[in-house]
Amino acid sequence: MSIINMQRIAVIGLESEKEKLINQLMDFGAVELTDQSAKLSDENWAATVVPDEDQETVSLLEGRINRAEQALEVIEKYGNLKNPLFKTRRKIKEDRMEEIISGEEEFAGRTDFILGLNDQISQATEKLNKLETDTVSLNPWAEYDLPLELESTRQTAVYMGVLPAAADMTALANQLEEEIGTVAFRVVSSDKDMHYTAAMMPKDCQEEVLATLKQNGFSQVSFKGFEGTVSANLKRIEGEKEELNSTIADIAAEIGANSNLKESIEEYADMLTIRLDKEKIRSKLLKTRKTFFIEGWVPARCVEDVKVILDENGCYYQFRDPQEDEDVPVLMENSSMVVPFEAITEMYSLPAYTGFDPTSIFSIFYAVFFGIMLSDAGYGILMAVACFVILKKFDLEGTMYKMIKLFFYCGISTTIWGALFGGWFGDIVTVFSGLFLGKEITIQPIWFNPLDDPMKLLIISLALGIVHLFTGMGIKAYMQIKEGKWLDAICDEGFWYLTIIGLIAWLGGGMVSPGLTGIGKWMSIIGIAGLLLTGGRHNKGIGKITGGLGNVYNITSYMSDILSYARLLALGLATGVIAQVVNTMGSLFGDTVVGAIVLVLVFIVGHTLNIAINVLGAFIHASRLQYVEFFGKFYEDGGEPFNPFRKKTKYIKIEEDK
Amino acid sequence: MMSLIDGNTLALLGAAIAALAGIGSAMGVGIAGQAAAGVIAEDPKKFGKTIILQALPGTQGIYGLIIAFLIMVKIGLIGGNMIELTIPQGAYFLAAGIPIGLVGIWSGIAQGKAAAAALQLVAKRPDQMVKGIIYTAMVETYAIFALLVSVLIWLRIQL
Repeated sequence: MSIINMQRIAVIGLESEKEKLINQLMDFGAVELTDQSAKLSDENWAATVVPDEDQETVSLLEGRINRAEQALEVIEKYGNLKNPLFKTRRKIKEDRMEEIISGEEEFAGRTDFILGLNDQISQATEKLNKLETDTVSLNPWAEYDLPLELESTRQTAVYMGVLPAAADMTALANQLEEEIGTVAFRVVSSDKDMHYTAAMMPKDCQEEVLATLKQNGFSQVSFKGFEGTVSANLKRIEGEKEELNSTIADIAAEIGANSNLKESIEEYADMLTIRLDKEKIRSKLLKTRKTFFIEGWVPARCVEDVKVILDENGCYYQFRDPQEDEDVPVLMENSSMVVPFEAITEMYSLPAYTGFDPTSIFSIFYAVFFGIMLSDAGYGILMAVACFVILKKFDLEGTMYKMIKLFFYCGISTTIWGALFGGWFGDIVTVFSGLFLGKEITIQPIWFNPLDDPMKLLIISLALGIVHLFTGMGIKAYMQIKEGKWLDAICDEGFWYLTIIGLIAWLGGGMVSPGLTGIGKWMSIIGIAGLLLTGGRHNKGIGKITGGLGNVYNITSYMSDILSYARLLALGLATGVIAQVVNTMGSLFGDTVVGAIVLVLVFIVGHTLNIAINVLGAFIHASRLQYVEFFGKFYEDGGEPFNPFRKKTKYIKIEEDK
Repeated sequence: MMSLIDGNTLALLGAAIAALAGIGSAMGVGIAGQAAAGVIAEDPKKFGKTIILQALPGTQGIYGLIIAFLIMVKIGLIGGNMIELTIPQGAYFLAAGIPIGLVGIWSGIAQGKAAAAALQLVAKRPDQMVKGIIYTAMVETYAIFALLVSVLIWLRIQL
């Protein structure tokens, strides 16, 4: 419903009590400590205090957390564990936490064990890669049957080498034959880049042979460190590869068998994270030799509880209201029905501390808009049931919880609107009954079918839009009045109310009662006159006239804002028509068995696609109507979220046992 | 020549023009797909996020399909015999096809470009993805309006 009031807190305490206080504040989890480094640039402060931080411990802990995270990744990779659809934090009892702390060595050992196995795998993989390159370089020489270490005999020299594929091997062989004669030249193999060749010759003509070869682009290849023939080597490498592969598989299996360590390593990592946060928070402390100083924010309602903690630790403290130029962190508070819609507000940007949290007001509009845009009872029921099951099955938190709950509400809204407009998976009942039962049964819409009377839904959409916009303007007026700016509220919002209502009555009121036209005419004339006269009230000289004209010209932006709500109709029709297209396509094969199978398949695939596209569309456009049309009228954003000092664990949720 | 142009050909032309919105979607999805592949090269885990953004410019093609389908149903091309249309009636159907057909082409391309930019945003700040989606969906507004105009014309055609 609102933004929670904050209190600024400043505390001086004894160094000896510091650790206990930090622990208690963390357990309490409702105090945000602010950074104090700015104070150190002040001479007076700098002369008496130093920041309290211990970089070494921080980096030590960070290193350990890193190792634990790596170990978890390794388990994830080789463990074949089933990944749940949503990651949730496991609940553990508080005394379990103490067990983890006292068994730290053992947990660190488990981490090392997993990482050790992983190291073995990477060593084996490295060797495997080396063998792989060897195989690649040996393969072209498979037909070469001399031992690789043989480079010369007493009388002869042996050269192995490659020539570019462009070189003509027959011509080269002939040339060698003609010019030197006593040389055995052999092309071992060729591929698209190279010829792999070997040449054997008496030592006395090796210079000449080499010169001729090099003219043709020969470059020597040597296999240092290899012994025996190529085929023998390839065979050996193949064997070694197999061995390494089985070693890797064995180690991977061992990691897999130890994947039950995952939970304890997660607990260990979280325990370290808590400890790290405690160390890190010290960088926000200033200290002298015997005392320390902290400042921060506390929600006003928690002040009494914080006082108890501070008194217990013998601290001197002060609370005060935030000052005007301070950046106060923002914490929204809403009833549990509205909380899911906070996700939409958070996605835009939190309201400023002095601003207004509109979540509870737009939540109903959001659900209604979403419902009209999706407007299919079948889809709505599917959505609501799926979200309900997820919420029951998973203990979700944070944004994920809000989003799923949001879609649950939107699903209900969609079901209602779908029933009102007569959409149940499009017109599947009509299609199915017409095809297989011989007579068409139609589920009659409770209200009306938008395809029969789109104008009606268009008017409803625009009317809803006007209500939405007027609500936004109302919030703006409320904020202005709260600040004592009565005149602004009348000039900026009051005249617009008058103008827009007047224009509607003038143009459309005749349909309801002829008297409305006249009233509307005068209302809009007074409204526009007011806008014209007051639009430039903050300007000087000629600006007073142009400001007024500019103000009246804004009518176009109001028109476009209102017309923007026509998307409610368009997207609603789109869902319905696509669903009908799907059903019609499914029914094309008639009332045979094949026809029935086709109908089921097309039904499943088509409607899944339609749900995916249109749920995304409805979500985006319902958000857009809030962000652009509604927020644009009043919203002041830019609040920093309240980020209290608490246990920020990733895998476990510690339950206090009382 | 004149015998070619009767009400039915005009109506079918309308359906064909409506389906042209697919050009915009194809190009838009293509542009977004290229950007998405670039993002995936850096971080394959973002596939789920990128596929949503890539799909956004795809809706114009669907809107075009809707109108084409609606026209074909109303003139009896699907599920029945074609009705004999007068030339003005055919021209109404042609008029119904034009808004979504034309707007679909350009809005699809423009939306594809916006989606590509949003994908760059996802590459650097994955937490800000929804804002990228909203920017991209802004373009969609005009395709939705075109769809609306097409549907309203189609609805008012008397046979």
